[in-house]
Amino acid sequence: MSVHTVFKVLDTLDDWMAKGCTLGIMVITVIAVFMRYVLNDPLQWVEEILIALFLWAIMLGASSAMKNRGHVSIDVLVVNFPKKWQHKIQLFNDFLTIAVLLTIAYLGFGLAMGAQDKITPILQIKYVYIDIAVPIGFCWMALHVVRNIFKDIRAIRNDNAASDIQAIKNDNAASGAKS
Amino acid sequence: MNVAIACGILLACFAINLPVFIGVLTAILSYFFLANDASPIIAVQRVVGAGENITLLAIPFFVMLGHLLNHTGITRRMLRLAEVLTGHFAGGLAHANVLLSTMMGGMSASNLADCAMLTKMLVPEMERLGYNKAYSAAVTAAGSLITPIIPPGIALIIYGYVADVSIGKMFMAGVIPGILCCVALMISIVIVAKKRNYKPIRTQAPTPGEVWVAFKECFWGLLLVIVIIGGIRMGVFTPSEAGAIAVVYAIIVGMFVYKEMKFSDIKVALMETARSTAGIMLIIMACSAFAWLLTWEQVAQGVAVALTTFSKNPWVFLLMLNVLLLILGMFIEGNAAIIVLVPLLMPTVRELGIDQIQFGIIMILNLAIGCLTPPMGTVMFISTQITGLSVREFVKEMWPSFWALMITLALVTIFPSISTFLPNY
Repeated sequence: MSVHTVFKVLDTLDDWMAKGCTLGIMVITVIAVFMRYVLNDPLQWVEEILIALFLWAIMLGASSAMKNRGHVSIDVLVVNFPKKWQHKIQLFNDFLTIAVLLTIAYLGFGLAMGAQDKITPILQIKYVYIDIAVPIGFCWMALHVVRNIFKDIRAIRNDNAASDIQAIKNDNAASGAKS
Repeated sequence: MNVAIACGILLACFAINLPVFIGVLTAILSYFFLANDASPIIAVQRVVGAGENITLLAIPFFVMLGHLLNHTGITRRMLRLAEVLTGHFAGGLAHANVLLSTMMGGMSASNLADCAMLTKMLVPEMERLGYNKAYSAAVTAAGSLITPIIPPGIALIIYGYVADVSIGKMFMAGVIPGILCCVALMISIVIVAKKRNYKPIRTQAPTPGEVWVAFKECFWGLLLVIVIIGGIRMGVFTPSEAGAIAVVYAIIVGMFVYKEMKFSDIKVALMETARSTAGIMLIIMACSAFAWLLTWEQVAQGVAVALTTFSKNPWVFLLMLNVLLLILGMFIEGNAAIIVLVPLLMPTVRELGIDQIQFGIIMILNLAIGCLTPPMGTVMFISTQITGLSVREFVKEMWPSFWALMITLALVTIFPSISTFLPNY
């Protein structure tokens, strides 16, 4: 499998996994309600599974949202800045984001490894398998930010090129008007 | 000192358009970098802990429900009922608009989604009937602020989680204040409509027959509200169970009763739910860690001492609280503000003997109003973005609705029983 295919898979796999986990949460809750109220035979283990799925759904959904720059941010101040500044701030933010994501991923990995012996009470799921969602999700987000940086640089180049062309056109128009 | 620096970094991160959760995490990490005596693993533990919480599991269900509703056909039928009920008042369509928001509030959890949907649906229609465009947008935006107050609102779930109050009780507490907001907005519409001569959309009051027909059409939608609120109130369902049942119910109504929903709509809603839930939850998780950091540094005790030495009178505290929250609500994302501020203010609230449920409703109402006003009004941005209005035009027409909501806020602050009557009944 080439690197290219790996990246392609990583690009859409988080969407599918996030959808899967969310669907899992919905379906299991519905089954639990049915068992409890209709068959009067409540499932004891549901809560553990739901919590595991919830953390995974959040982390994978976060990665999916990062890909589309779907996370809430506050742009009221920045939009008033000149375009060149906006580009620089955008790049700064992207790099800061990567640094923060990787730091948390590292700490989260330590946390997950520290939870080796912890297990859930009924199903005895190892907490490692739950907590490992955090480093995986955060690394995945960082990957999407890296790709977004490349996109940004391309967009900035295009922007600059466009404004250069506009400037040349203006020059030509001005000199044309003179002659 | 380190906390002050961390708060400064937090605000700077918000200002430069960094994603909110990254900004909060940056502030937390820089605190640990500066303080050097505590392990940042504790902070990460707090982040993960909030994500493993069963209470917050109700959020994805109500987010999903909101995304599904757009496709069920319930909204259109509800609008028809609202038009029949209020069309004969001066400014009929504006009334129907606010009433629809209130009814939808009983199903949807997000004011942004509601505002976007209703603005697209109703503002062009209002403009066609001769309403001022900016006023139409402002009324629609103000109406959608009712959504987070009427159950099931995500803000109510989050407050229940941080303040350790039963979510069922918070849901019940929101009902009367939400209806009051609706009434206040409708009164403001009557005043404006009389002055500007906005016509009713119907010539006379509806006959019982007409009301019955419209009611029958959207019966299944109204039943959804009863299932959610009633089920939780009777103690039959936990909030997430009620959410799960509501999702299944909405799919059944959309696909088999009204036959407007397609299978592909569900897939789209699932993706949207995964993304928006993650967005909401990451902010909650990061903010929980930040709130823990403030507790660790005993900031809450400091705040309590400062506030109670200033005045021991609950009224003075509530007045200061309202001013503070209105200002903060203009700058900070609402859910983030709840998670950080509730632990900070709770000791003072307890000491002054203010009801926790009332405090929650005051807080949520304040932060909701902050969504309507510059500089950080998220609902205002959605509205201006969709209608293409400038913020200045929007703000100019916002005042009648703004004051209507402020009067409601004053009533909720002065009379605790508005919030506490239903939950304690």
